[in-house]
Amino acid sequence: MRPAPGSIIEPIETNPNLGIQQNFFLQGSRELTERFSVEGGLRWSLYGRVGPGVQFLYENDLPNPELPPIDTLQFGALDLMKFYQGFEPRVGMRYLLGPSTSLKAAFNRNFQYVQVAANSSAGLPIDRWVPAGPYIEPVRADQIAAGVFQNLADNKWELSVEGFYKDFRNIIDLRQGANVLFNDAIETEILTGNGYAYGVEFLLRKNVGKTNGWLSYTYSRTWRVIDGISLGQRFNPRFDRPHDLALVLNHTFNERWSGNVNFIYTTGQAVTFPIGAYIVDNQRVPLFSDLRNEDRFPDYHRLDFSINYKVPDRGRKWRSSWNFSMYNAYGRRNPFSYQFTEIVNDDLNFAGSPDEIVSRRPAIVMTYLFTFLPALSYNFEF
Amino acid sequence: MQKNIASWKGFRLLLLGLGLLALGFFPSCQEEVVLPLRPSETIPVIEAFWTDNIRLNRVSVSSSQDFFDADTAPQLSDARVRILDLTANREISFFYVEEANAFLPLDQEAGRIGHRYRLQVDWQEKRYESESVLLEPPILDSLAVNFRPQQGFRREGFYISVFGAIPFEENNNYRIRIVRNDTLLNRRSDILLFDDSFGTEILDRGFELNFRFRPQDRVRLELFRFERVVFDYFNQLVSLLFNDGGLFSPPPQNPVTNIRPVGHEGPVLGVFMVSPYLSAETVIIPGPGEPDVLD
Repeated sequence: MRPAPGSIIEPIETNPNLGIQQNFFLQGSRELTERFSVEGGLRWSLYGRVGPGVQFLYENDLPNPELPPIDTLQFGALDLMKFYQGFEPRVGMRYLLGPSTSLKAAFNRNFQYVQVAANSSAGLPIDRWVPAGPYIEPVRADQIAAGVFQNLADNKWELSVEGFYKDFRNIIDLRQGANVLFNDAIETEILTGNGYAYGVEFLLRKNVGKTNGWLSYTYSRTWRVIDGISLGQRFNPRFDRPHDLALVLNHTFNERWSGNVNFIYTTGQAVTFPIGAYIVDNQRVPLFSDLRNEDRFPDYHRLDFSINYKVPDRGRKWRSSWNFSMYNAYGRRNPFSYQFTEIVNDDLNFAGSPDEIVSRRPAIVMTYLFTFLPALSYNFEF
Repeated sequence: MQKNIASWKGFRLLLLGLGLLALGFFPSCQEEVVLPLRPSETIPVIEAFWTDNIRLNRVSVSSSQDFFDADTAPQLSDARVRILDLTANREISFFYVEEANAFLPLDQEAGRIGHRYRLQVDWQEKRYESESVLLEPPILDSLAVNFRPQQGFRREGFYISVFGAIPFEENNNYRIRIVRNDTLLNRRSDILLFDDSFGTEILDRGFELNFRFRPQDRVRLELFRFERVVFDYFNQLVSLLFNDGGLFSPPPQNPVTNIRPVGHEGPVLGVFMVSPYLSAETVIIPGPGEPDVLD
């Protein structure tokens, strides 16, 4: 939308954020013994933030949402605004404990030149992708992982257990009350710190047979420590979900009929709920803690299934099938967002005039997207 | 050809049927729930208005409460409240008036333009302070009433334009309050703030307010001007009150207060608003051809 010529309304125009990334990669592998093999690689990543664009200059080089920039630098097309580069080594090892059992371990380092800043309210999740630039360094992530892998019953089954630890440097997160939409000076709305994550993954998979699928379970935690957020104490980002379980089952009944069942269970996402309320300016205001993401959505789970019917081709040049699926088969009301509000006249959507207000009480209103979602589709291929 | 049309109609009927079936599966996507919220310590909430109008000057000291507690906020009537006129070097004492649920100035005093004031509140052996200047008021010339027909989201009705002037280079932070038929409009959508982001000519051209009035409504407009920190407080308050978790909602946070604890680090909520007071009144009288009655 553009305001009419002569209007006192000024249009909002944002500056482009452009970056160019190049990677050079070397890889090699070697069987040191019959049981022991090593694979290594080295990636050299080069990233340049380029124009056209604007760089804001701040007092003492410290972006501050309360203070306007002291100057700006304009960059033309493909002018280099900031350059980063880094070596990303990786090494993986495999040791065969037996004919169907192996031990694997790996280390790798990654630089990520585009980060995501996610909000932490109980409302709609908002992600803003932020490229590295003059004030935002790329994330450096070092990960070590080790696991045991076992094939069973002539490779019909796979079983694995793997643990990992990941260390993050220069990770970003939003300040409290950050305004990230239509904001060119995004560096004033984010803070930088470090983080770490760890976990154990378990996987049981059946690859062949009329019935196949997998069962996976992961226990993992993610933490961040960023000055200026959560009083400098460690906190969970929104996507920290300690328990994550998935079951996928496929079954072929006969040549024409097949079916599939998925079950998902995860811990609810970490969010910030109010811890009280107070009255100011005749308004009832929710009260929030200084600590971030100390609360949790309820656990998320749902079951989906689908049934597939292959239509006999009867000599036609194309094949077709019908598919009926049901998303969230048992109608679990998984919350999408919460609104901490007041309910007027016991009506969630009261829109009357103030004269009609009889009662008013604090309440939490949950929004969920779907209970059941059936779908019928017809597929054909030539 | 006719067969094709019949098939198309059948296909559309099938789609309609599936659509209705799907709607049947989608009950309301919103419902009231109860979540176990963490408790909070009791935090004092100080709301102080100090203007050049005696009628408005008051300090409310209450406490935070449980989120689900629908009772009125507990008043901390045992607090000690005073305002220091730092320019004139004198103290203005306040006393608690139960009927007003607030502390009122002992000698019915009013603030003076250009003076700097310090609020002091002592409660449970803890002191809270804030300072601000009573700024010069802008110029409020007149109110104009215009009838507007229904257009887009704007309902048919009478709308008021404010005329005046903003002769200041800085501290252009304003709030307008509307009193309609002796009732202050105090919904969250009634908090009207503006600054000089779009220039200082906003009142020269006539600033039409997005409040709808009916014939015979008696309207009083009140205009306040305060320091940026107070403006930011109200801005953050509005942002929080409208924070529905939607796309344009930032992560929620308590509005940053301009009141600070002194000699301790205890939390405090609220605002100390020091402002000149301007007002103008009008009655909505329909002109020729304009409706005498509206819904």
